[in-house]
Formats: sequence, C-alpha cells, structure tokens
Amino acid sequence: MRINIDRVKELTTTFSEPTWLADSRLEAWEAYLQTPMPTGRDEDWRRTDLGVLDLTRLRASNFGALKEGSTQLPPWFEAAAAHFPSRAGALYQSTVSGASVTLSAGAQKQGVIFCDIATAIESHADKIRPLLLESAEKGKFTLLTSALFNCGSFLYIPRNVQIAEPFIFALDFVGQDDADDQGAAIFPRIFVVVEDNSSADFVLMMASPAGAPRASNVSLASVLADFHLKPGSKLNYLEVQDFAQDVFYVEHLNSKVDKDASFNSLCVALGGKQTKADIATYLRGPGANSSVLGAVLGSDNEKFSYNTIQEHNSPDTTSDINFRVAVKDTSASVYQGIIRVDKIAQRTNAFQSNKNLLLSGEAKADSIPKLEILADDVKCSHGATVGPVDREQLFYLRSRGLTPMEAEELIVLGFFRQVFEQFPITAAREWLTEVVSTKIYRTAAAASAVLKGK
Amino acid sequence: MAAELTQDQRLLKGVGDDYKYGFHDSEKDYSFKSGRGLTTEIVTEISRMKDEPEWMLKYRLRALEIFHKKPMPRWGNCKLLDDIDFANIHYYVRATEKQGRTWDEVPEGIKNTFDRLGIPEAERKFLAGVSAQYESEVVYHSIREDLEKQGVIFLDMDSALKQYEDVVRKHFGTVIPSADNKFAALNSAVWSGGSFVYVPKGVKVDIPLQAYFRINTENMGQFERTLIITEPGSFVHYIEGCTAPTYSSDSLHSAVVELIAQPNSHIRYTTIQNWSKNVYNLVTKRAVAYEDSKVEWVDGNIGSKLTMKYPAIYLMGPRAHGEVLSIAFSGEGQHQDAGAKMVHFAPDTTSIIVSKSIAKDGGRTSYRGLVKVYEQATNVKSSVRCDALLMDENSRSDTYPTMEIDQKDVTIEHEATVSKVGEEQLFYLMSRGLTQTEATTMIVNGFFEPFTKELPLEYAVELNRLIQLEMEGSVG
Repeated sequence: MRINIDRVKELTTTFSEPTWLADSRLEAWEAYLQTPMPTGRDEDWRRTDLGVLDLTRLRASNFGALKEGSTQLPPWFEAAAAHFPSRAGALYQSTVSGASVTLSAGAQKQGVIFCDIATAIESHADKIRPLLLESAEKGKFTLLTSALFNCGSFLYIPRNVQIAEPFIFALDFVGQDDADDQGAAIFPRIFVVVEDNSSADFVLMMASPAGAPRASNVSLASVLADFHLKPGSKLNYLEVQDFAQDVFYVEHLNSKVDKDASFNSLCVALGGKQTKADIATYLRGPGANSSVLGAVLGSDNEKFSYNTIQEHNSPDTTSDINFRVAVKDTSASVYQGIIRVDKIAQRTNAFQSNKNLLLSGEAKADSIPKLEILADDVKCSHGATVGPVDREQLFYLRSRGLTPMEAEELIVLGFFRQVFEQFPITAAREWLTEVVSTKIYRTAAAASAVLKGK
Repeated sequence: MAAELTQDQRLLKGVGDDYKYGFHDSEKDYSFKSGRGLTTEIVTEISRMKDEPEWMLKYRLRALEIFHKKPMPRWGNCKLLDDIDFANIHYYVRATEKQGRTWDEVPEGIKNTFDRLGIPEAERKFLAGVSAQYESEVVYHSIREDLEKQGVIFLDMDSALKQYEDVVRKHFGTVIPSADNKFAALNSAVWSGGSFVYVPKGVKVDIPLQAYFRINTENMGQFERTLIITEPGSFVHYIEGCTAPTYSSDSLHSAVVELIAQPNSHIRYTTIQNWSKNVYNLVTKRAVAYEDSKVEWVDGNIGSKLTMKYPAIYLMGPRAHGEVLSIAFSGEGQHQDAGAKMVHFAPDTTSIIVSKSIAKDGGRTSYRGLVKVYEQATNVKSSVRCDALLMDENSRSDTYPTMEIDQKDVTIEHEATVSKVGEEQLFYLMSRGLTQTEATTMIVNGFFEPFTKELPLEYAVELNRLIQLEMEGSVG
C-alpha cells in the first residue's frame, strides 16, 4: 500500500491497536502533512540529495509474522551474530523472511523486556505509551515514522540490573520492485530505557541480503530511535548500516542522558544510496557524559550526511565526538556537528573531532563543526581535517613491499580501527574490522585473505 | 594636557562610558541631506549630484531593483537584522561641497573632528596618503608626492570615476557583483565615497595608505565603495578606521570593498572597526588573488551593534596565498558575527585563517567561515584556527566553520577552542603582584597578540589601549 492515511488506518486495524495509539498515529500524520518537505534551502538538508526520493511512489512494506525462538536467518546475520556468541537477546525482523525473537533466561528473570514494538504495545503499554506520546520530534521524516512505524524494538532494563551480554536487533530490508515499479519503505521505531544504575549493550544491525535484487526506484528506511538513560545508568550502542545502494536511509537518534549516566555510541555506515542521520545527545544532569563515535566508508556513488548534536543542558557534563569518514570513487560525505552549551552548563568539557580521508579525485568530503557556547567556565574545542592518505605512511608501507593500493587499504583500515578501539563493546571490534575490510576489499574472501595474512 | 582632558571630558559627558569617539557635530552648515527612505528618486538624485556617467546611474538603478527583490538573510542574527528600518535612514548626506587637498581647506568643524580623532597628526608622522570620509563624501584627500610621481593612484571613488572612468568601469563590481547579496546590492545602488587605489607594476608603497570613515548624522547610512588594484610585482598596505557618534537610534554602514591582486603582487588590508554601539556594520569584502600573489585581510572588530563581515579571498591563480587574521571584541549589546572565506580555484594555493574573539558583559561573538576547494585545485593547503575567550556567564561564543572539499590532494585543518581565562595563568600573574584586572588585561592582550603584532606600532598601542578600556571593570 502507498504512503497515505489509509496505510495509517490499516496499521491500526491489522495490529488491533489501542485508541491512544491510533490517535497518536493520526496526529503525527496530520502534522506530517502540515510540515513542508525539507529543501536544499534548509541548512540541515542543504547537502542532502532529496531529489532522488519520491515519497508518492513508495509502497509501505510489511514484515513477516513473529516466531518465538530461531527461524531461518540470512547468512549476513548469522555471520554477524557469530561474533557475539553469548547474547542476552536477539530480535530479527525482515521484509523477506519473517521475524524471530529470543531473550536469555537470565535477563528474563531480572525483569528485562526485549521485544518487537508491536508486542511492546500489546503487552507493555504502561511502559511504552508515555514514551511514544512524549516524543516531540517535529521533522518531516520523524513525523512520518511516528505515523507509519511498522517494525522496531523495545528494550527495557529495570533498576540495578547489569547485563553484560549484548541485545541485538537485526533489520533485513530489500527494496524490491513490484509490478508498478515502486520502491519500498520501512519505518522502524526503537526505544531503549535503562533505569537507574543499570547497564546494557545494544546492537542495531541493518542490511540488505547479499545478492538481493536491486530496485530501479529508490526505497526508504526511516528510523526513529529514543534512548533514555536514567541516573547512574550506562548504555553502549552500536549501529551498523549496510543497506543496498537503492536505499535512502534517514535516521533520527535522540539520547537523553541523566545525572551520572554514561552513553557510548558508535555508528558505522557502509551502504545506502543517501544517508541522512541526526544523532542528538542531551546531557541533562550533573556527571552525565557521552561519547559519540562514527565510521563512514563510502564507495561508488553513495552519499552520507551526518549531523551530530551535543547538548549540554546541565553543569558538570562531558562529551566527546570522534567521527571519521573515508570516501572513495564518487561518493561524498558531509559531516555537521554542533556542541551547544546552555548558560547553566558550567564546567562543561566538550570535544569534537572529525577526520576525513579522500581516497579518489572525485570523492568529496565537507566538514562543518560548530560551537554555540553560552556558559563561560567551559573547555570546548573541535578539530577537523580533510586530506588524502598520509604520504609518509604510504611511503613506509611501500618501502616494505606493499603496492600503493595495498598500502592505502591498510591505512584506511587502521584509520577506522582507531575508532573501534575506543568503543567499549570489545566483542564488536573483530566484526567491525571484518565488515569494513569487506567493503574496502570488495569481497569477504579478499578481506579475510588480507586479515589472515597479517 | 590637563586642560585638553577636561575639555574632552566635558564634550564626552553623557555619551557612553568608555567610547571616546561618541561626540557629534552640528549639521547646520550641511550642503545636502537626503530625506529618509530609499526610492528611485533618491538614487537618481545621488547620481545627478555627483554628475555621473549614464552607465553608473543605470548600474545603481539595477542594483536598487535587486536590493528590493532579495530577501533579508535568514542566518546570522535575524532578530537584529529585522530591526533595521530601511525607511528611516538618510542614504546620502553631504556635509561640504568641496574636497580639501590640505587640512586648511577642510571646513573648520569637520577638521576639528578629525583633529580630535588624531588623523592629521598621524598623517604627518607615518602615512603615505590619507583619505577622510565624513558622512557620504570624502572631505580630505592627499598622497605623498613621490608616490604620485611613480604613478600610484589614491583617490576617493567619486573622483576616480571622473578621472579614470575606463579603469573603474572595467573593474567596478567585477569582484562583488550587485546581486551578490542584499547589502552589496544596497551599496551598489547608493554608494558614495570610499577609496580607489591603483599601484602600477613593480611599485612598492612602503608605508601605509590610510582611509578614515566617520558618520556624524543620526540614522545615517554610509555606503563607501573601495576598489584596490595592484599590478604585477607591486605592494600596498591600506588601513581603514571607523568611528561614529553614539545616538539612541541606529545607523547603517554597508561597504563594498573589492581587491584585485594581479600576479606576484601583494595587498594587505587592515581594518580597525570601532563604530559606536548603535551602528549596523554589514560589509562585503572580497579579493581575487592571481598567480603568486598574496592578499591579507587584517580585521579588527571592536565597535558596532551588529557586525556581519566575512572577508573573502578567491585564490584564482597557482601559488596564490591568502590570509585572514581577525579579532573581535563584543561587549554589552554587541554581536560580532565575523569570519573569513577562502575559495581555492587553482592548484598550489594556500590559505591561513586565524580568528580570536572575546565576549563579555552579555556580548556575543560568532566565527563563521568557509574553506572551499574546487576539483581543479590540487595540492592546496589550508589551516583555520579559531580561539574564543568568554569573560562571564552572560556572554556567548559560536563557531560555524564550513569546509567543502572537492579535491583529494589537499591538506585542510581546522581547530577551534572556547574557554575562559585560564585560572592557572591568572594565579601565576597575581602571585607576581598583579591585581586581577591587570592580570586579566595582560592575558587578553597576549591572546590578541598574533593580531596586534601585525599592526603598525601606533595602531597596536591604540588597540591595546582600547582593549584596556573595554576590559575595565570586567572582573572583581
């Protein structure tokens, strides 16, 4: 079905949703209609190519029915999941092959909730309802997702619970053509709540299965995620986006970090036609801190537009951003980042670094790091660089017998590994090295040969 | 000396606490003052009074159309921009009919003003040429004879249009077309005064040329237009300073400055902007730098209510080099939204931006900049460094740099910091017997030093004094 009000109503009927949700969807749909489509004139969208996306031609995808326990999982997910042999929970949703969910007995016993969004609405309305209604995002795409979400996950960690193993949410999306030659659209809605003094690791994997047919029209995945970190809690969030090159990927990630809570995130982007991501972190209580890491590797004609927002709303907060981009072929990246320090947010310590590697003459990288500082007792700084691979490093590797191509690939890998090593989920490092190498060396086999060789 | 001070104090009574240029003169002897507002008639009248060629009148009228068509910028400080009442401004004010070549020819009242600003004395001491603009017109102009003999042209823009019409026509508006932005269009429609500098091949003007801009009338709009051209192998340093009286309602200063540095030449353009805190300073400044040339903007912003100014250098030829060195100081009610643009069109071009800013007493400083590297510009190096100091919790600092890089073979670096005056530095200086104010002032002077050391000595001394004044009472 196309994207229209009938689709909104269809979702409500199909999932027998409560009235409050039906109303909230309709309200979001109304607001969506009222909100003008962003254009190149909006500063935030100035560098995003919206021309490739035709919302009127998209067909909203449906997800397969949910099964408890394991189901037939695609090879990419099996390969990724193998790096996390012990998991607290795994949710898999696919537009092709159904869905499955698991939750470890240990986590279950401690009162952890981990399920798909439909189940959360059905069985945990008391918890999910305020979260869904609170969301005040007013962007065109966030409103669209609020009206049309049809997949997603809910993770809830009660007070004083530490879960060491990761929760994994895997999204499998193929923007197949149908008879009318339309693109597909999915609208994942994600919530994570970590209550006081608890901790958890959450991994979001998004991919199109290898060899999936490519649609001739652009498809859309528009993610809206809200993370709530209550006082003293800790959340490590890893996201890996490896969609096919016909997917227009929009993401809006809001993290609210309370007193003494700690948020660490790493977003890895490897695919998609055009990515437009806003990663906003609100440090709302003394002692709150965040670390936002990014690794973007573009090839072919892929376009990436990342926007990080660090808001210091309380005194004694710290934040750190390390965002790295490498672009080859004719791909292009725009990084925009802002550190905002409220007047009351004294003794803020904020740092932002954006490094860009240009790997071909036709690749482009823009960097726009911004500061808005309203308090005086602060230490805020940012640094940005754009350039090719360091000549001395290249020379060194070539003097050791590597070809220029081999040397460059190795340097790019090292460039990203420095980011991966900053990220606390250590089990992820090997996997990330693997996926990044696969992209650098074009095939998994070539990547593994190089990785094993050294 | 003591008597002079008391006289000054008497004159300055009630016009702002530490702004010593806030006085204003009587307007009773003025020869022309346009009505308020901007119309085709006023533009035509300006052109007619100046006895301009037909093409310039057409140029002005076309620019006026563009001005009306272009929307107000929706970035920077929208609130303050929207407060500008274009209908309430006098677009053309002529205080005297003739221009002096010696100070004796300048009307007494105006001469006294420039005396009080220290201009004639400064000229005798260390300037190669002086231009003094009062309201819309340049009232005094001189250049050292030996330079004139070498073919250096230093004229006010109106005279240049009469005496060198072909050169002016060829270059006027080529660097900044009237459609560039709303305020460039406004300037193109109602421009008056400004400087025209032409330095012939191989001539190095070893001491600076200076222009001085003064607004006297309330709700005045000053729109000077400056064009500097250096032929191959030449050098010139141009310095401008600006002041205005302190009024309760606002004036508008909107200049257009175009620099053309031909191959292997060098232009340095220094600005000490010290408008009173009721002046909007919305200025477009741009240079084109051809191969092996060098352009430097040294830009100090102390005064004005709102400044929006981003000196730009278009590096057009191989090995051209651009530098912007700027400081901004924002006190109560002020917003300095300043920055720099470096656009690399050619290979082996290099650029450096160093920006230092201080905000205190609720003032706001913003750095807004662009480094753009086009695809054909290989082996480009660019470095941007922005540092901001915040003196109290009511002040604000923003940094909005943009880097657009379309070429792989480049080295682009950007760094920015925002902080308060270091407690350790303060502690060290105070342990050596300095008061907190003395220590803070010393740290601030040190913070600005990369800028001040690029100024001629007299200016550096004056700037340090200004900073000291601005810093008084800021701590404790």
